[in-house]
Amino acid sequence: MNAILGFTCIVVGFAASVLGAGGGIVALRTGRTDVLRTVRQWAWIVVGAGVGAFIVMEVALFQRDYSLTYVSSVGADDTPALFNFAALWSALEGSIILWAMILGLYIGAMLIKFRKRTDDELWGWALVVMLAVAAFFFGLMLGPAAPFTQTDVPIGFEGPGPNPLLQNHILMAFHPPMLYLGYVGFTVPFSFAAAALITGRVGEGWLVETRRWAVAAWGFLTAGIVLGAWWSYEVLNWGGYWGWDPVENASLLPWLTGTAYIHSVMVQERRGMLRVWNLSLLCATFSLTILGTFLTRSGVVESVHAFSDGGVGPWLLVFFAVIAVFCIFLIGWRGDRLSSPGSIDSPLSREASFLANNLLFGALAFVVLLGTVFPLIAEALDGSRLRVGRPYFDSMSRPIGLVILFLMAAAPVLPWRKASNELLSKRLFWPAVAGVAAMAGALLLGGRGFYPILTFGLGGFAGGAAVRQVVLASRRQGWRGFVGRTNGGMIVHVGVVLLAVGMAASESYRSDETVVLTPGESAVVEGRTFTYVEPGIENNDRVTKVFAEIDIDDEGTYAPAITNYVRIGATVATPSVRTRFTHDVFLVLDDLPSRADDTIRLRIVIRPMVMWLWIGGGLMAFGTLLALFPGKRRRGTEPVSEPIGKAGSAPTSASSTAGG
Amino acid sequence: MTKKNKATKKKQKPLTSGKTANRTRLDPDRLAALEDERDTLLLSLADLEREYEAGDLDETDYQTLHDGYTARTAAVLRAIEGHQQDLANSKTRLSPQRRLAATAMVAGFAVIVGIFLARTLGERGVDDALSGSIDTSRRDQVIDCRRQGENGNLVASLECYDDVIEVDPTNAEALTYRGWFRILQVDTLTEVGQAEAAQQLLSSGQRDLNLAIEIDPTGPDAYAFRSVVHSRLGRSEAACDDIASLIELDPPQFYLTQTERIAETNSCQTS
Repeated sequence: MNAILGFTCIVVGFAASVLGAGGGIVALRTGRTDVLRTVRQWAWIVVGAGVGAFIVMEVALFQRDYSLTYVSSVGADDTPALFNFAALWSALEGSIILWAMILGLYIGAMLIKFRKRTDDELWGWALVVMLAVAAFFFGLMLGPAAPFTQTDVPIGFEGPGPNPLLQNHILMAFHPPMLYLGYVGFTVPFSFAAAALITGRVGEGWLVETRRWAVAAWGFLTAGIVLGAWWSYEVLNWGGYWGWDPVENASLLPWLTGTAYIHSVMVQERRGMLRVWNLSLLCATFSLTILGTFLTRSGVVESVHAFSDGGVGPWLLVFFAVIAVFCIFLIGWRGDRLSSPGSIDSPLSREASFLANNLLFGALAFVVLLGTVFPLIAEALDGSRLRVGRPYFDSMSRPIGLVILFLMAAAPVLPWRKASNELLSKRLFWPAVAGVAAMAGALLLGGRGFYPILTFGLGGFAGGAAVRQVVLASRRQGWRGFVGRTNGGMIVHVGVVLLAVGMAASESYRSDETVVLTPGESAVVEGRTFTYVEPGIENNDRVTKVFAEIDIDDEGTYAPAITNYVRIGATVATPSVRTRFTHDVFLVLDDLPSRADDTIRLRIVIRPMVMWLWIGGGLMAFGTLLALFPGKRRRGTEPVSEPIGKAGSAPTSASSTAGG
Repeated sequence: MTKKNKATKKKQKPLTSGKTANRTRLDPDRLAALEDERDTLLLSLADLEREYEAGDLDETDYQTLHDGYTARTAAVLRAIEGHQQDLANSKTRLSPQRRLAATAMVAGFAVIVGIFLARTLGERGVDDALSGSIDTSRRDQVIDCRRQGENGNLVASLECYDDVIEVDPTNAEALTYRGWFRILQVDTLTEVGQAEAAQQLLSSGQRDLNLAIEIDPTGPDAYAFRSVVHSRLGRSEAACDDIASLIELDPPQFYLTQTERIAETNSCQTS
């Protein structure tokens, strides 16, 4: 029953998205508004099909319907409810369902938002593009990633359960959906960008329509990446949170281009500049989400995060290529009307700082992309099996990151057009004081090293500038001083500062030692005494956990373990971590206690300020939420200042809603 | 909605001439709207001609409507031309110096990236990620090594165990399985005529098993594997000793089943 229902949802979703997209193209090419209105109905069917497929698969997982191949490979009788729910995205086919469902929800939200603009050409083309993307993902589920195929299982089959790493921590229930909300969310601004290029309405109208959607998608992606880092830290037993693994990089790439976009889009809104750049950034961001999916789901990379090796790789690669060619063609085709009305008047201006910010984010994206795909390209060309080491990413990203921190301090205090030295020195005084204080404080507390100290200083500088903006805004506007794009953005900046400071401290001042202990024996690491009390074992039908009881001075008892998931026959080391505001203690068993005398090899990692990363990530998500609320009323496309030399000309009023 | 009605609806839209349009903004949305209006007006003119030829319109109405459409179309075309001219005029070209500087910056950045990339490139082993490093625990590594061996990839498995033992020379499990996988390769080497290499591998395999038992005398795997080696080399007594040691450990039935034939072949007293 579930197989039939689920398959029906997929077929209906595919048919509706193809018919909707096809009908939309015909309607828009021939001016048939009656046909265009029917596209909405097809789109609603796609929404229903996506949500339906998701519900059917969840029901099948909870019913332990092992007649479905997917359920028989990731379900188990005794998997706890939360992980059973999350099992839907623990393998390829389910994660494509999740993608289709989220895309359906975004399409539904757009249908509601634009319900009164049924005849609008821009919206019509945007809907066509979204339906075409939906057709691709529903198509995948009819072919290489079919989730509702059936199988025979022996009587008494109880299922293996999901990959052990995916049923080891609660964060796995939230990290992938957040990431997908971000990935898929960028389909909305991308669709409007494509629609703008198709219709020729490449002015600022489409930006106004989509800016909140882009910010929301960026917020979800940010939350997804931070939750992923947290999960990696808590579960993967390597004592780190970011290793420049290809799958991590795959999620970072669209984030980098997306971050560049949400800054540069303001330059276009206010000054009508960077039109080609913004369209290119959106195209790049959406393409990179597909590339990320390819890297994660194709099996092309070996990674602790790559959980499948299905046959979707070639399809995703072709889709990526189609999007890239489509974007290049459209931008080339409309190149004649993408000229900007002005240029940057002064390097000391908001727009110049945003441009610099964009160049840096672009450079960082290039660095990460090259480091990630170079081994693949080399292997494809001459068969050599290469890998790019972590030092490449660290040494390239550090200086770029520091300059970005500096710009985060300078940009918010710079006015549009041009700033005087007097104005700058006045506005930067307190942020500079905060930066110097942060550096001095770090040195007094014993901090050493060029990079971390500079990071603390620039962090204080950037944080000071962000707090200054919020304080001034809240004085002028009361509670509205905390909401709106600019003020919410400043909260995000504070989050970024905490994250940067936390990364610098936890990477630079970490202590990592492995000690060999027998029961009753102690070791002193970083002034703390670690006493191995005794080994222990916990058994249930699902797991066998061999743990070591470790007492640490005043910090209580830790229990790092080696966990064997009985059904799947897999063993993973389960770290024991305690997070405090100032430092983390992370213990992991290197192996099972020796059978002879229960000796253990215990890895002890002590990192300062890891909690700052999670607080920073939370603030970034919260700031994004605040940025989505309407701030002080102002037409988004109104320029704040006229180009130099045109001050006497008539005030401009751009069409606020393209085609609206 | 007929095309004629559409045209009538468009008529209510204010039309900005090319001269009065704000050119400083270079609004492509306005240009697109003008192009849309041009297309609609041209369609309306074509409709008008058809209706006139079909006799649905008298001469006066036709002339009035025709003149109106024509005038509006001309105004729209002028406005479009004005916009396009503005767009063409607005194209700013970088000075050669700036172009050179920008090119030099991009090239310099690419060179720096290339140098750093080249310096950190390394050979990718089996199960290595393409980039970065997430070092899993020794336990995970040992499991990976064994999985590779059990999948028939003995060379990769041995390399993997070498890595583990280099860092942790007393890892009894790694020594046990490296020894066993080495011994499993002996026959292959012998078959291809590399007797000397086979002999070396056999010796090193035995050394690994001996060391593993020395480090962890309670590991049943090493005894089981060593009993097989002794048996094949005709050392019945040593094989029986290992099986006896194995039985003393009270291992799971699996081990006893696996060594049953060895015990029989060597006439071991297992009761």
